[in-house]
Amino acid sequence: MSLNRENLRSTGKVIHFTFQRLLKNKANIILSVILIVAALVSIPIVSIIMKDSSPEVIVPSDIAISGVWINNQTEYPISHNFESESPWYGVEFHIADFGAGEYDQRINRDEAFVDIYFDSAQQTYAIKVYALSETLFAPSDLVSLSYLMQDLFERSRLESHNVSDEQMAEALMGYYTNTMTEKTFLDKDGGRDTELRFVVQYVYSIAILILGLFSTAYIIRAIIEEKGSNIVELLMVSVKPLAVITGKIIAVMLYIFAFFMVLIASIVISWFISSSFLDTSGISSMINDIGISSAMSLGPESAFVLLVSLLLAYLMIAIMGGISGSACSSMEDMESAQLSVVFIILVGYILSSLAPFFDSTPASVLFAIIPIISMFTAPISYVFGDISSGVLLLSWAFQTLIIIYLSLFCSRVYSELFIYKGNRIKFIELVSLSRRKKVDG
Amino acid sequence: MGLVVKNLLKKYGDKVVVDNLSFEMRQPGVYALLGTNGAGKTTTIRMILGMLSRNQGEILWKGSPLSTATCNVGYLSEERGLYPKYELMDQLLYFATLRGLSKSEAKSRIMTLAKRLEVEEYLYPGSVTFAKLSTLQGDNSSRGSILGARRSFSRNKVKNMRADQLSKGNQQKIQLMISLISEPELLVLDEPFGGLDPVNVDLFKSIIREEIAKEKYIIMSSHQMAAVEEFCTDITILDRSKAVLQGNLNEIKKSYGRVNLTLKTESDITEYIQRSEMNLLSKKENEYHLKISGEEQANRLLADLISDGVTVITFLLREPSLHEIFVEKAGENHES
Repeated sequence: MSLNRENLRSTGKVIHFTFQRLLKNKANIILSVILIVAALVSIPIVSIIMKDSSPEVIVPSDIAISGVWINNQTEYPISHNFESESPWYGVEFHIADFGAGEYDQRINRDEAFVDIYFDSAQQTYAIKVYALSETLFAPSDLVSLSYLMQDLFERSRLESHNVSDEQMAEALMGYYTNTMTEKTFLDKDGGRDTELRFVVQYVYSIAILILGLFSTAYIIRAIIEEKGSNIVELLMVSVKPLAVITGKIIAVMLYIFAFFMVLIASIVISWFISSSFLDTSGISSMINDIGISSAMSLGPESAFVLLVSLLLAYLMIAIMGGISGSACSSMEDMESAQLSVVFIILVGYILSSLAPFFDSTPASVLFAIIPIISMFTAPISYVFGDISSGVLLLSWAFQTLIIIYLSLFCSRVYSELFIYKGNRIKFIELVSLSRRKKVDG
Repeated sequence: MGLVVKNLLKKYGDKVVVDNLSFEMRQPGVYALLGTNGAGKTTTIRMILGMLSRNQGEILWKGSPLSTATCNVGYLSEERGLYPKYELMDQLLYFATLRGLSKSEAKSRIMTLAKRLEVEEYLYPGSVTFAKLSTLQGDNSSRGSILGARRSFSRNKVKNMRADQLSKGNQQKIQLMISLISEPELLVLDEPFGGLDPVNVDLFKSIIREEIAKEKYIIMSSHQMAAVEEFCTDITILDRSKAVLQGNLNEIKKSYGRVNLTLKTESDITEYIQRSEMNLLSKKENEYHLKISGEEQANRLLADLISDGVTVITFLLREPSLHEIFVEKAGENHES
């Protein structure tokens, strides 16, 4: 049996009818309604739950220190002019006529003392901030005061050297430091982002698993139902087995895809509606935290690669479901038929999760080419720079060939077994069955 | 030449289930494929229709290999089936469009067949109005009433029935509709009367007669010999995968000669029968069913009876029935 026009005649009609049957099926309607309602209410419910459970963050807006006494023993005068928005606005700064030895007798519980001097032993300036043992302000206020005094002292030193405003801004500009191991540094240099990779791999694999497993279940059920109803013989007078099985697989794939698109659309609609009357910032930050926002910014090329790979993976799993379903003749076999496909997909998924541990290009290429594993690894490896576009195209070509072979195999198995009644045929027997010589008219 | 089946062979492993079968349908009519259970009738039909692969052989339709592309085939399978949970109309439309009919052609054909097979009430649930509409359509003077009925029909349209809501016989009618929907050139009927009540058997027979009148090629497989005999011109009797008898039914019967004698007399003639060495098949009061070697033997017996003054009420000489031929041929092998 080949993929020619005659063998595929009326596939469109089979797709149309099967799709309609799926849409009209009561169980499917009930499941769809439940999931769509769940999707629609999910955002408002999660928003409300997150709002109730999130601890109230207190942003300090004021400094509780009412006065600061400064004992400046250096040649650099401390001057200040706080804006009304500054937390230090309103705090009184005094010149102290006392030292660190007697500050505890001279200041109040809402005041602090600052001693600035040149430490000749250390050959450096020292800024020391003091408060009473029991204060009316938080220790963080003292830390803030310490930073403020450092800044004012630095500014005064620079001003004494006639530094311009621009130079001052440049000199006092903040900076941060970071430390990393050599491995992390090299990984970063290679264009990888472990966290982002994990998120993309996770979301992509989940998409394959959900689409694949749902479609497998539906395809197996559709095939067995048709066989069980004995109508398949009438069907075969009008269409070729390849058209029937292809139509069935494509219809189920479209239905499952449309179903999840509707679910996603429901969530998006729910998001837009909810955000107009509820605080959804909690969900936004959660999405940011788990890295989905970063994944969104991968770019159109990466999105295209992921989409094509997802389509190939989806098609391959659906055809495997078709083969598995063709080998069954009663609903009792459905579970085992489904399990055999699930087993193959999970083995592929588990092996693909080992890919990042083999930190070499040949290993990445191998993982991108081995069937089943490649559908999980190839696009991720390409997006994160492990394999070249040539290897990706090779992987796609290889997957396409396997899909064509599986389609023909599935059609052969289906045409040999559509009137078969009995126990589920094992894979080895299927192979010998498909190799059996057939005389066509 | 219509259908040619040449050297058809089907094996499952080492087991031969159809052994080198050949037959031809030169002109339209009914060809009967007969045989005991498991003789290979359904397997032969499935191979002819391309559903089963064959190990050897050729099937030609008007000179070309038979396929859905070269021949418009209608098939009523032995294992009846419909999608149980789906609306009947959807199923019929699906099969019609698969056979290349447009939606409007399909709808019109479905309506005709539904009427013919008396299943309108299941396909058009507003059938009371439907019936009214149908009646009115025959009456040209009541145009206003037709429009009114049409409006009422579409208003009253109720949800279509599903296959699992029908009785077995009615499901069979829907299946026959499917097999006839594309007005096939070759109609294959595997056990068409199985599971039908006598009224519906007659209905199916009348439809088969109509198809014969339309010069269709029909292959029929059935265990109801009387029904087959009513229609078929040519037969093949299969037994244990092999054709044990083939040919034109009339010629086959002629070749057997008039070997059945039915006699009814006023008095007991058992003694005459024993003397004439005839094979007494059954006796009920003074009515005798006899197997004879030929017409001369029967005539001698009749002459003896008349000369002895025995009153003969019935003297009927006839060829063997298909049932008898079948039992003889299939039974022969079973005995051996």
